[in-house]
Amino acid sequence: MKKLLCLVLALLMLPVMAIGESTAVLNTEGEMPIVTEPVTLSIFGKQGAIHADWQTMDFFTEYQKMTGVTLDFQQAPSQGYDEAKALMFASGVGAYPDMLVAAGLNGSEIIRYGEEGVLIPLEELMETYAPNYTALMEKYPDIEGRITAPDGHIYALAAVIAVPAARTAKIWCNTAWLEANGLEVPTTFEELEEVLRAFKTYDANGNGEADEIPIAAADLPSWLTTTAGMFGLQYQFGQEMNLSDDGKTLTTWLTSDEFRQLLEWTAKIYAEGLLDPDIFTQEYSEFNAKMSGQMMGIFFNQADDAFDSTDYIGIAPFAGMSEDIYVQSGPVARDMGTFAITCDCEYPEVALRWIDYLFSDEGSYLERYGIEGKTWTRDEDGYPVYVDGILDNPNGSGPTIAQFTFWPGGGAPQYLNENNCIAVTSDTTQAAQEALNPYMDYTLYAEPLFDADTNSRLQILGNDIDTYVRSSAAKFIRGEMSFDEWDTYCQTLEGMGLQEWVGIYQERLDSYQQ
Amino acid sequence: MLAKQSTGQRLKRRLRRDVFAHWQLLALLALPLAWYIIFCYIPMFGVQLAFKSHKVTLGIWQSPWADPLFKHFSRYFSSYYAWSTIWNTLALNLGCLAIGFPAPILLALILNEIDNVRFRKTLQNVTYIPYFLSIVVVVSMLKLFCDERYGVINILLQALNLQALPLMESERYFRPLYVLSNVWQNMGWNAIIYVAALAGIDMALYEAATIDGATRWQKILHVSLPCILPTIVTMLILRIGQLMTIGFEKALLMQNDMNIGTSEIISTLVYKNGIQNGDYSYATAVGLMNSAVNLVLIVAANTFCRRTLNESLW
Repeated sequence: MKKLLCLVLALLMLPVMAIGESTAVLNTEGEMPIVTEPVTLSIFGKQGAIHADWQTMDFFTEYQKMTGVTLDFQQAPSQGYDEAKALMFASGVGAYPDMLVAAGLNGSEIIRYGEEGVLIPLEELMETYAPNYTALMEKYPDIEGRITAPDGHIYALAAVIAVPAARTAKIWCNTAWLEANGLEVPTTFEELEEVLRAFKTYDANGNGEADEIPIAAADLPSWLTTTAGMFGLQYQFGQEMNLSDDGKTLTTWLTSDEFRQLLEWTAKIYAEGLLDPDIFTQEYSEFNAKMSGQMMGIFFNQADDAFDSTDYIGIAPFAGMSEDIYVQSGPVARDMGTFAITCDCEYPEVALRWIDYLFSDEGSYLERYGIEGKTWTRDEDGYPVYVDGILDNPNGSGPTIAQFTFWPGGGAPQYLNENNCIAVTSDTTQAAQEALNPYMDYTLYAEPLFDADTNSRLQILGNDIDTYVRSSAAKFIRGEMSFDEWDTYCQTLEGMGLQEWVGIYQERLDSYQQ
Repeated sequence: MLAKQSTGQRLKRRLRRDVFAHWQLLALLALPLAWYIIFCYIPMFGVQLAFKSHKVTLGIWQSPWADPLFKHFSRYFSSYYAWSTIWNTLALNLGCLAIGFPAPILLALILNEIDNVRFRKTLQNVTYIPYFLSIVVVVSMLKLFCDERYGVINILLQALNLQALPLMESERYFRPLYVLSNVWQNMGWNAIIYVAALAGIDMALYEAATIDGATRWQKILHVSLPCILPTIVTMLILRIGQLMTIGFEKALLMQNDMNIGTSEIISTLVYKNGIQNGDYSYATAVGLMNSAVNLVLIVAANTFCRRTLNESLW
């Protein structure tokens, strides 16, 4: 393994290649094709678990024809994607793909590779070549703060999600199961437990086996993020931190009684067999199968695109554990690092125009709906509507749409607004969002970008804390660590630099308030 | 001066003659030598990364030195997982050695005692076929068999009115599962060499023992074992050379949040930091540290073998 690693690193010594500046191939602004003579751009990204091969997707074939930009597909499958991404970055100058599209770059990667020169700064080019994105930045001022690095550069573009319902995880509850058991929608934790116990013994599919899952989430982190709010816990800056009432102080709740209470409650329902034990180990595709198989009574998911929601409704968070209940919500620039251009790209302005069109209304229709006349048509107001057999597809609309375009599954560079969001914010999802709205009225800071030094320190602290919390939480829930050991857990966390970690974010908060 | 030159010339002539005479041997040597140079010696230059702050655009040689130089090492040793990963690596490898090494010898002895040729051949085939399964398949099988609800092992346990065990999801069972599945997979294959050694034993020795009135057990103890002892010692020394290096893929594949306390070994940590997070300097430092521990172990084991068994690697 180490040998392989070293070999890969040996490749890094390839000579630095000069970047040619050439704008000659560009067509007039706003015209298609983008280029006057054929240009090939290589594209790297994460091909989601439910995606068809990118090369065969209607969106990519059509967009290549439209723009005159031929794409050289170098995308990697979602399984083992982290490795593929790290190896791509290690491949060295001269071997980078031109564009990183839906490549799932996180904040620390954006800073690290931006600072090292792998990702080129986009802000100056954007003024000329990205009119649509620039207009969106003016319309939603939050975006700029989120995508601009402390050195003033923009190394990567974020998705623009202008629909609140697309930024929260909904709590889905199976009403058919409720009715069959003569129960009401649970509103408190007491009622919830009663419902779950009923679901546990209820044989919905009538196969004689107790294979129905009372409550579930895709994995442990998503379980914790969604339930934490019901215990009065927030995710300030995307981290496990609460903001004081005066809005001036951050405290982490990883060592708090509330978090302990959350774990204790989860451990209790786990011991009773109410919580899906697979949340510790399953792949997302397995969770997906459970959604579309209608196997779960209550679960968390952003939309109803992955399952038939006839029997499901979105419900409000459960009361009874905390007086303050919060629903975690992503910012407008929800997915960071959805698009970047590398230093090996010969035509950065072409690449930028290529992406910018997708942030226009028409471009967003192409990206989100596919080819007009094939997978969608226009209604009388000119807005797009999917043809029959997509939203009502028994496989769920997400997997169906993922056959012809690449946004399902998240992380794609995209502009989501009220006109093009039907697939992820169906009426059912909108209604589910309304159940959450009363709990979203509080100040919530989005995850920022830090300077390189802070970033690398934060990466070390964050990695260690994250790994330790995740494995400890799993042990507490499964009863392998008793709550008598809570103090040891807290001490270990403190010893890992928990306060330094909070301090970094506190400093950022202070700088906002000056 | 003159004398020196003539010795030099003589040496040269002899070398030329030797090379010419043994060119076949040298040709055979060339490939393995190239392999070592390419995969073992050239990558050693990469070790300098452990003392550098790696930048992907600058590459290995141009990246600046870490400040302080041992930054990555002190980060490792001050982390909360340092000693647990070292211990996990050691425990796993020692477990594999302690149980995995004697198992094929026992199997070979048993095979040797079976008179029915057909049964013996079948048994031998059945035991060595698992060797050809890829690790991914073995781990998938483990996951299927050990599932808490649907796994065959837990269904059996429940049928016996025992409590189901979270085999894959517990720190307690990771090492036994790992070691035993390793034994299952490799026992038959590793036994082949002992079976061959046992087949080479002069039948006269067994006949003489029978005449002296030795029981079957005594024949195993006093004829079979001593005759294959040199093979055993050689195999042991070879095996010790691999201490601390085995187990990466399987440990990674078997790993999850629940068993990470015992399944996080140095090589999986290196993988996560290096290949997944792109933190190459840190990963190299930790890997280098692993090599250092490995070296200490090999020297210790070698000394032990030389003192007690009178055989050693060097």
